[in-house]
Amino acid sequence: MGYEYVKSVLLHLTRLCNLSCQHCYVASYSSDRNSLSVNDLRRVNEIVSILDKPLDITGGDPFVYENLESYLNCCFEMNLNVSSIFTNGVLLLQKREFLKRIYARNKDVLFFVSLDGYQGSHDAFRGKGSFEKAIEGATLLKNIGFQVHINTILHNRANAQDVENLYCEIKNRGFDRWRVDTPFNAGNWVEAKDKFNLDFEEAFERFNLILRLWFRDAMPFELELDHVLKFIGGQFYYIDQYSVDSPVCPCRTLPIWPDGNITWCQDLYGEQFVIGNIYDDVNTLYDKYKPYKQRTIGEMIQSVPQCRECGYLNYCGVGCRANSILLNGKYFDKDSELCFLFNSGLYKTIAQTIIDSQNVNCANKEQIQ
Amino acid sequence: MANQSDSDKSKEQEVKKVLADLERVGVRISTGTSEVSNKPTINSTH
Repeated sequence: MGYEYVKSVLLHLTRLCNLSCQHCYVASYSSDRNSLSVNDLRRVNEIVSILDKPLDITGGDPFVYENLESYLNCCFEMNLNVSSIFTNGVLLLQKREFLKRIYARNKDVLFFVSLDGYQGSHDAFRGKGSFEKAIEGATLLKNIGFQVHINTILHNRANAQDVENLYCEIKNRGFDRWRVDTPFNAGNWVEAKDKFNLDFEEAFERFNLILRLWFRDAMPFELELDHVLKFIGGQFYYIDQYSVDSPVCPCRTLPIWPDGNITWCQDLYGEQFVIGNIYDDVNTLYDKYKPYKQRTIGEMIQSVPQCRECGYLNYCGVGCRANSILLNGKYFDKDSELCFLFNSGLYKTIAQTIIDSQNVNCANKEQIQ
Repeated sequence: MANQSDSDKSKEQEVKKVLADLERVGVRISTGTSEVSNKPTINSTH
């Protein structure tokens, strides 16, 4: 079996973390089990091996998990494709020799380090002193030779100057990609959003600021601005385009949680989303996962009449199911965030910034000639 | 989408115009951001 509807496995090794971030989704995870056991991980590796898909490792923070090195060694001995490790970066400076050993075994492991602002605004969100440790940790990864992507969630403490300062750090330190996004309505964010929320218009002001700086500096790294614009592998990608035959859920990550449960969506943890456990038969798990990924937009709009005739349908594709559930409480509903993105015209502001930057480039070339 | 109102038809035209404007200034651009990358952040993956 090719397991074509799974592209990767996202392993939550542990829910334990050295930080307590204002927007962390782990608060949604309510099980008594904090971490997977060594035996559990043997079974996880069997599943990854049967599926033959890349493995992404996250937490909590994976570097808090005491058996991380032996687990990674086991993965490497089994020739599993350890694709990436997600971390808040704070403990990396203490793990210099361990990181070098990882690099010696597999140079292709990609690191995602979270930075949600510059110094004070990052620390307000994640804890005092965390910015310096995280950015120095990310720099250590880069110096060892790893590819490093920075993940940023925008919030109201990160003002325009802060965003510009963070942009400069990312450029000057030579990180490979910057992904900037808005928060999901999950975990701690449900409570923290009243205090930290940045409205969508303000978030797009920050996106456009980043984009202008990025063009000014001749596109110094790969970039992802929400799902509106990406620049990856030398190619721009702008919004999505769907037909009625497209799957409603293009995200094909199989998430494994610290209690061994598996849900059909990497953004949803809760009994109602569980499709099975790591000790279930892999084909049975896959059969339960597949319908969520097979369902087409054409089938979906039969149950979401407000989307059926909308002129934006071919570009929003009814939106993200997790967003629909987290914002509206229903699987069969619109994705209010994407509705706003299109109806407000905010998506056009990104296109306009691109167009303006190209016009400036043309004017500069003409002046030189 | 045969029963689209004029307002909904104009929404579709509006997106097409934005895509055409991008092409006109010479940006080699594809649609499909969800397909190209879907890795999680600490809070979101969408």
